[in-house]
Amino acid sequence: MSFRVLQICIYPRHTAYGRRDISFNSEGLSIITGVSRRGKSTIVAILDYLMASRSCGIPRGVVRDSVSHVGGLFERPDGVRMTVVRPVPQEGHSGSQEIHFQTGTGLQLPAAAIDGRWNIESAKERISEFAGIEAMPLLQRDNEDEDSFSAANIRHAVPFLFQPQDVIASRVVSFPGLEDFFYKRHVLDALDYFLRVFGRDLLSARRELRQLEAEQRAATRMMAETRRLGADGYERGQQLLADAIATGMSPDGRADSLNDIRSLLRAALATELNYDTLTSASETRFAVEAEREARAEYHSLRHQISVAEAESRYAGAHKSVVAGGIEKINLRSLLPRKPANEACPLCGSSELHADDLTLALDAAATALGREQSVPERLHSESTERIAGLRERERRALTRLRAAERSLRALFTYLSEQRSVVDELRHRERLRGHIEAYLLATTNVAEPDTEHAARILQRIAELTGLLRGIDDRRRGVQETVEKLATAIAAELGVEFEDPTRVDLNNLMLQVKAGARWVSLAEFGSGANWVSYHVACTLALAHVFATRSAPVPRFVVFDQPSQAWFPPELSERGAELPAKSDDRMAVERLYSVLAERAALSGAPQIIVLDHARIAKPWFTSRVVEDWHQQGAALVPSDWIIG
Amino acid sequence: MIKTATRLPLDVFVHSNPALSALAIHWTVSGYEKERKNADGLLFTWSIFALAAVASSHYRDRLPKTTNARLTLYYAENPELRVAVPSMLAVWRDAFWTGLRYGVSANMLSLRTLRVSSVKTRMPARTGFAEGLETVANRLGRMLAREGSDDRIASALGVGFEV
Repeated sequence: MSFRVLQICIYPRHTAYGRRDISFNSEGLSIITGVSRRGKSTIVAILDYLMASRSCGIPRGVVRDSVSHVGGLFERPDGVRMTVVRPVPQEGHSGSQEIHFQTGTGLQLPAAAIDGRWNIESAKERISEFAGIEAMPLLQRDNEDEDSFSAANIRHAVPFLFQPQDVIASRVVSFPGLEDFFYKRHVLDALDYFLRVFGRDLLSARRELRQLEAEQRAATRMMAETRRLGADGYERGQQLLADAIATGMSPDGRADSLNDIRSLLRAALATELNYDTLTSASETRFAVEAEREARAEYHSLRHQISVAEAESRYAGAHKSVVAGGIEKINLRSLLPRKPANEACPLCGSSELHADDLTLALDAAATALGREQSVPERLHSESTERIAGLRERERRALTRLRAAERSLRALFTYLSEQRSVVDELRHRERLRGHIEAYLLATTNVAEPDTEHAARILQRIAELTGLLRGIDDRRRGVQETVEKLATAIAAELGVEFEDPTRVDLNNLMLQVKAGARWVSLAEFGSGANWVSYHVACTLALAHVFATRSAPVPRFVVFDQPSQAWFPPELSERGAELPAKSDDRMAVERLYSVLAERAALSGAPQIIVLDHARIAKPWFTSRVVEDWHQQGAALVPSDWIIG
Repeated sequence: MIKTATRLPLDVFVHSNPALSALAIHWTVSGYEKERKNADGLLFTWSIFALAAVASSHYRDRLPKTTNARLTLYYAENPELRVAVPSMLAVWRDAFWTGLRYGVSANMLSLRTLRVSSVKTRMPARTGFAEGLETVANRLGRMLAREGSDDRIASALGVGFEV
């Protein structure tokens, strides 16, 4: 069960004006025709925005300046209606966060704009519910753990509802808004559900199968490990036992089973080792340490002696200077020549008492006259210190030599006992290996073959059940392909080969020989438009026939652009009668009208420049914006 | 070789420029005071010697290049530096006192019981030439301080004094 669009409206910013409605035929084809820049493409943006889009595609400029809210009236086949009103985003915002949402029978759009009381996420859920999309957890999120899934919603159906003018004639893009990889993956996941390839029962079966497969993989790994331990363990145990017998840790004996091997090896572990020689080996560490300390002390003392000798040389230099004679200089001769020596040396004032300068000079001379004694004292001090240090150096050297002798003797002993030490070390290693082996073989358990068999049986059942999914998907794919090929042929595409929407990647493809190729390998804008229209219509028909919870309308924007030259569309001129282009456009509209008139067919809305003066066309025109002043936004709304 | 703005050799320039003399003395005394905390200042004789040593390029270039050098050992190993000291003191006496007067009047230096101290003040912006001179003067002041006392400096420089 899903819905069709009955009406959309825009609310003016200025309260003096009433709302502007645009009604659509609830069945069949609805055409809005008009020249450029009248707001035709804005219809697509408004419908997308009303389907709880995060961002607003309504163009800036006249529409956003004049319109405060947009609204839509939708109806389900059971007569229940839904109204959605949403404010146009304020400057600096990409979309509004509030939506007014109401459902019920006989509803009409509110006369004045209403501020919403639903946030965008809640509204998305409500619109999805109105469309009949169940809250089934089927979309896996990347930023959550493996078992966390979210439900499909109305936004995953939106790409199939619109063919904007930049998409409908594109040879690269099939459906709008699928540039985001993660969004496209979710749309693809949701598509299986929309097409009724699987439902709730198969979904739970698929989850159970994934869980059982993981369990079975773990069980397989466990069994392989057990087998390896059983086979390798016996062989490894025999090797260790042979080693233990060879080193005298175990008596000679025969072991036929894993348990025998384990008990013999356990007994071997109880054998005591003679550590006497190993103790000597550990003593070497202490001897090495003692030798290192003695050597460090000896070198430290040698350093101290060299420093003391340097100081002694310093004292000696003083002595030699003094011995070499010092030239005596009269301090008064270093004072300024003028004024008189008894005046202040700076300012020359004779107010300074002569005694002060004399005292200062005497003090300076005293400070300068002690040069004889200090070096002598320094010299004798350093001589004594050096003598003390040399004595300590001699004793440190004696200790160092003793430590070296003891270490040498220990090394010689250990060298002679090398074979014994090696043997003991080998036994130590063997003990370690035996302990590790006994620990590893303790947990060798018999695999639970019965449980494994049960898992395998259930996996087989579920696989059989789920095999139907592939068959169903293939069946749907074939249906879409047949329908799309038929519509494309009606539209008169250049190639008569089969065409389809690949349901695995949502690409539009045409069969060239034995393989499917994308539209990028084909030329002509007319072909691209025709394939887009054919495939989108085919998918919409399949949605309708399979009662998919996808809205029952499709909007095509500018489908005649491939035949309608821009200069004609600019001035609103018509195509020449009986021209090939005119014929092609007429054929396109007649196909759309016929397809829309079929029982259970989706509602088709076309926004275009084309205007064909024939009753079957004009009867389906709901808005004609070719006249001066006719547009989405009434001219008196436009401020300024 | 430190070049002056007037292209005169530095020692000639200092003789005619008491401000530069004052600066050189200030830098030396600052180095001395920095090395010897709570010192009474540098004795005027060593200030004369420092000004002469820093301003004369041939003498300055032969001074130790590190502050860690001991003047006693260095001068013992380089007696030609030592023999020049008495004449340097005599020749640079007037330039020193002129510079000192300028320094005192400019509040850069002070003299107390024949010891020169520096006064903390805002110094003029230095050029590259003055920066090189400051480094040498400062280093010499620190080396003088590291000798420990006036008698050791006198002993190191090979001069004696009488009143």
